[in-house]
Amino acid sequence: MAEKKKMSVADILAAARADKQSVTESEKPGTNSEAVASDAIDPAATESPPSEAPESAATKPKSSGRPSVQEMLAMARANKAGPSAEPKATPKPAAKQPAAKKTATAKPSPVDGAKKNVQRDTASILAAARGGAKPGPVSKAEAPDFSKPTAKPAAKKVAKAPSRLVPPRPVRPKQEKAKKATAADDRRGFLSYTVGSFMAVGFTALSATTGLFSLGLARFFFPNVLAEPPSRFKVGSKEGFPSGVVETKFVAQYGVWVVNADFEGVQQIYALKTVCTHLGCTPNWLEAEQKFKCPCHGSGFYKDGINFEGPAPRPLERYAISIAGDGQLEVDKSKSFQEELGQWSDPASYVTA
Amino acid sequence: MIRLRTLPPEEQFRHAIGVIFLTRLKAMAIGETIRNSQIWKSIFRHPMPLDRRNRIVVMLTNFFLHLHPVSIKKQGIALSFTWCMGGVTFFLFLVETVTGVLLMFYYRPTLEWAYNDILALRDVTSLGILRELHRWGAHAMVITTWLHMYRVFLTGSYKPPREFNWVIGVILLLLTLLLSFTGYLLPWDQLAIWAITVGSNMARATPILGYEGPGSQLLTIGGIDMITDGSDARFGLLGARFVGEETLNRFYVLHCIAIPLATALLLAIHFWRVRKDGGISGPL
Repeated sequence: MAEKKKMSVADILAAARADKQSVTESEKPGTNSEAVASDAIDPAATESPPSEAPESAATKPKSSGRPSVQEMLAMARANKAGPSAEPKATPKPAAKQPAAKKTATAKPSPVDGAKKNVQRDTASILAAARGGAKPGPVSKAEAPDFSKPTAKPAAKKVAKAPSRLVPPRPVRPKQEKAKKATAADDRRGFLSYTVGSFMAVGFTALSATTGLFSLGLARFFFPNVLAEPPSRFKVGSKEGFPSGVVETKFVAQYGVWVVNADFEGVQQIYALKTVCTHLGCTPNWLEAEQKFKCPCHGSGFYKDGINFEGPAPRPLERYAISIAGDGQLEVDKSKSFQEELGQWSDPASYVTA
Repeated sequence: MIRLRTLPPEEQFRHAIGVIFLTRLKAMAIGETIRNSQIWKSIFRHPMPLDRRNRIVVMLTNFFLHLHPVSIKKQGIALSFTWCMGGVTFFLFLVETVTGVLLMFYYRPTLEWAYNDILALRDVTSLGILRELHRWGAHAMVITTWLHMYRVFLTGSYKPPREFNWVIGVILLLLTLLLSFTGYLLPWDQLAIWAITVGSNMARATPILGYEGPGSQLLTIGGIDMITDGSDARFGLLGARFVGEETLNRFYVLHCIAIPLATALLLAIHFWRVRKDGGISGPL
């Protein structure tokens, strides 16, 4: 490869011609590289130094299966310079060799080169060599006459030596694909048949994991243990709650008033929940006015918990109250009793004073 | 100066003009040096926006400007048409973000300190007025959100192809209200506590998930209610059966992290959709 990169124009030409020669003689197994080389050292190629040309020419034929980029460039340049001579040469394929020789002779002369052999950029040369399917960018000066040469050489090349310049594109092996698509009999096919595809499996797993994670996240917000005061607590013996008293000392910690009052003709001790039935604020016990008054929206309740003013829609609620084994009153906040449902007649909702 | 005074006024004027011109030239030269420096060029990938193309490039290559379309209908941004209510709302969101971050440097969401820190912001901290800015900005943001929605409704801008953006806008309204609601508790005064108590009681009546709501009895396993006052939607919001320290902490995190993040994301989508759905709608 290093040799190829360093090649001069003359080398390239020599190589190109040697290449042609090798193709024509490739059928003969005993093709001597020296013979090719000697053929390449044509008297017409005056500029080529005799020492270098044989070397490069000798290397070429061995790798002549598929033309390299450099070789294609060389071919294209030969063709480009050719047009003046080629129209005559085309009819006879045998006249190839002289045409190439003419190119070789014409090229090195600087005057001719300036006129005819305008240098193109690599992309367009390659494009021309490949049959002009898609020409690359060209310089402005060359743009108008570019269309003609590309079309012509392409046609000529096909006529002359299609096998050398543009090797046929290998046919795609289509049969394998068709096999894959229809094969549902192997394990992979069975899987994709049952679950769609591996992407589907992956995304299903992902969404399932996300869903489970979200559920876990929801659970995250509900702790297993609450730092709350116990829901069952003792408030002291009956004697601590004389008739008519509203005990407010349990409000802050437990949210309960313990009241000893008359309800429907019966003297009862009961535990009222300190939550306003309007919107959940905590009313205050006003001793002077003998009522519970909510500071939020002004709801008022009698001592027995019945609402009588403000927006509260129903009476306060009671918690369960009972006498524990040691004789103390015990409030159980896990049960509540609502007057409007007739639950205050439940003996668990009061202790007879 | 003495020499200047001796000059005729015309000369003085010329002299002054010359000085100004030279100064301007010098400034231009400095500007040129800056614009040719690698630092400048590494940040701004475009030349001076002197022609149409480069003005477009400026809009497209700048993170902050790219939110705005390169070209818009002149009528589309008429103040009489948009009221600029969406823009004002976004501006207020930025104000709330900046002032909120500043307030976080002083505020501690604990029973012991929350109220005291609010008082300290007023009494002790320099420029503690930022707290009032945050508060009034919040009120204003709720109002401008409504007005923005009202404008969009009046101009029919919720109609296809903008119907999805309207939905995002409604979610943004809810997030704005939630931001207001959660922020309301943080001063931890009586007003805050009872307002949140009252407000969160609504969650008790959530269908199925609220323990007083319709269908809450549906979720029972082996005769045991799954939805109680210790496991319903309200509890999840408050972190307890009553507004307490857990509530303060939850609302603080919601107010400062969770809801702003969600809002910022939806805002980005909201603006993006405005452009993708054909820009600001034209006047009717």
